[in-house]
Amino acid sequence: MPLLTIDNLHVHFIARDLGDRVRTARALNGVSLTVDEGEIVGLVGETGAGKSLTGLALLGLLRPPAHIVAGTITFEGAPLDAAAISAARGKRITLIPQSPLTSLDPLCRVGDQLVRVQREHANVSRRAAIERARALLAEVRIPDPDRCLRAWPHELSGGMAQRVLIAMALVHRPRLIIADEPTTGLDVTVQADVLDTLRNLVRVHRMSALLVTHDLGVVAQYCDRVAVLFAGTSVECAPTATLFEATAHPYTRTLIASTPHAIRRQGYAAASGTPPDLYALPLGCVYRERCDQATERCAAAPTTTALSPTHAVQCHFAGATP
Amino acid sequence: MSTSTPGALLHVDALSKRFPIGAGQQVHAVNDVSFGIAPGEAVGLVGESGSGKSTIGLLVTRLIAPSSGQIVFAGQDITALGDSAMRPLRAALQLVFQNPWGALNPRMTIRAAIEEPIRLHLALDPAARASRVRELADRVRIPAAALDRYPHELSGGQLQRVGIARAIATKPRLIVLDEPTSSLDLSVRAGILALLDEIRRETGVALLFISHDLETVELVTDRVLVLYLGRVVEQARTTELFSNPAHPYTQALLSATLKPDPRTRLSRHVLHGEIPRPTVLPPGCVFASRCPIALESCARDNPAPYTLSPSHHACCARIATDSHRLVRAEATSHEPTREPAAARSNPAPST
Repeated sequence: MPLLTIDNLHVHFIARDLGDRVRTARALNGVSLTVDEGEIVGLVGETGAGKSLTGLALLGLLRPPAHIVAGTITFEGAPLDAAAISAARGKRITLIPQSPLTSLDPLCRVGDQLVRVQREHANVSRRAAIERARALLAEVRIPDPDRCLRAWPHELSGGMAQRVLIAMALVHRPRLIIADEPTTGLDVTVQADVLDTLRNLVRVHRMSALLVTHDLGVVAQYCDRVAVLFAGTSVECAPTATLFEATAHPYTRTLIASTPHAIRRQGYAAASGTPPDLYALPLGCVYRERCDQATERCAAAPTTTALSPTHAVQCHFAGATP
Repeated sequence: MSTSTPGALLHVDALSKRFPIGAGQQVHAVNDVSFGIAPGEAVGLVGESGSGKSTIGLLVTRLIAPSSGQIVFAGQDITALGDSAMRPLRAALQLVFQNPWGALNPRMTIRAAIEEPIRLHLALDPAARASRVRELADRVRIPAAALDRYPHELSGGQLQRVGIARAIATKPRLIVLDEPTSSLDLSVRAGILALLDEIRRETGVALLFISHDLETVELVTDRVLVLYLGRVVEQARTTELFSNPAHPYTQALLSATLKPDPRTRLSRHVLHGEIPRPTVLPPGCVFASRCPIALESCARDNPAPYTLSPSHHACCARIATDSHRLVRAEATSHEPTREPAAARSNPAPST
């Protein structure tokens, strides 16, 4: 049984505009994915596709006007309702946030922050907590843990700050880590270092990770499986190698063709369209307006086609020759 | 590394820029950098944050003045030109910025933003100006309806197209692009790169393309300069650099690039530590403190450029003895297999 199952999750932002009319932004429109134990699952898509929002929903951090209007989340075999999320958040499900330098408390030394996270969830002495903080910093391969404990966040580089945040996410040995673009903005050498560290920790401690990213290089090199999001819908889920070699959804194909790597081989593809308007999504397939294969059939919402037990696609033409 | 190209459009010689930061200290942002750009050539500038890429972009467009060295653009020495003397040259020397949201005046419509460089540099009557604006908008594929909107109403990709329209409005000979696609989504980025490629082929404009994304640089440029701590450590034709990187830093940088192809396994040269502070320059090779194969002498003597081919130069003392190849990183930090079922030696500790 998977550690985490998200089934057909819908999140809408429901608010009134200045004219007191109710407006609904359909941000998530059917996200389904599973994360098995010990697995790193990539969540890719463009800005506004709902990657981070899926992570927030998992952590129970959605606040009005965001509402979960349909769908279920199952974690460790039990439904992840509000009470279950409160108990799990920060302990069994943790977050590595996106922007390392703004995610640490600027007025609190690194060591004190690591102590605070521990004492929030468990009754430990300050001395024991500092010992553990030092061990955690060593575990995420920070060169001089003692110096780092005394450092202020602004004294850290982006890569170091991200390592501290990984250490913070590891404090309670979580089962699931949600890493929200953990290396965006870092230099390539630092990015590879940080992701290596994360992968090794996930493997050694048999945790699982949901890795939110828009970088297909990160996906190809670090993820076991991938879910591709478009307009809040998981349009394709597959093991990484399958996704790249037997790509089935037209959007995934466009995405892969947009990498400089692919452009060098195949030349520039036709320009892609604008991001979808979440207030007025097309009926039927969400990708219909940008898809070069769309026909009248696409006015009806596609169902999930399982091309194999591990490869699911939301497209009317999945499996047929393109 | 002085590789003066005859007939170069831009020629930079021994360029340095130091920023005073008080207490008698200064940041050595750019140190003794020399290179040329031929007409129509696309030159890439790569390196980590703090390597001086953007400072070089600001120097060659003379938005800031160098501390020493010489900049020659289109046969004219612009090293010490004042703002008013620079102004007529700016039509030929344009810049596209990294952050399209911050690069446009929020109180100007898109039409006014595109019209501004035309009004400043070209003597056209209003009707001709208006038609030139429409032509440019069409060229960069901004819908005509967007011309009367304000920057906040456009997406990042569209704003970057406006930035490019402004840059090409005066038919420049060189455009400096400072990370033009790094804040954009993958598919939007591909559209911008395709546009740049078309513009280059149509107008023959030369590009100085600043980026930390090696994949994009490999796609866009003809020649690449690799910067480390404000120094050019290696320069070569793009194909040569990517197939045969000579400097240990370039080797490490290329090996850390994540290829979007699960069949190419990452086999990385791990660099330890971080880029040193640029306030005190090391006396020897700038990379010695992090170089896995540094010799004792590397910390002492600054290596002279070594010529691997007429178009390939690298500053490393070990190239002369052919001992500059980094040995592939051991698999210690990597799993031998990508199967999640592997390496289950440690059971999950109970919380």
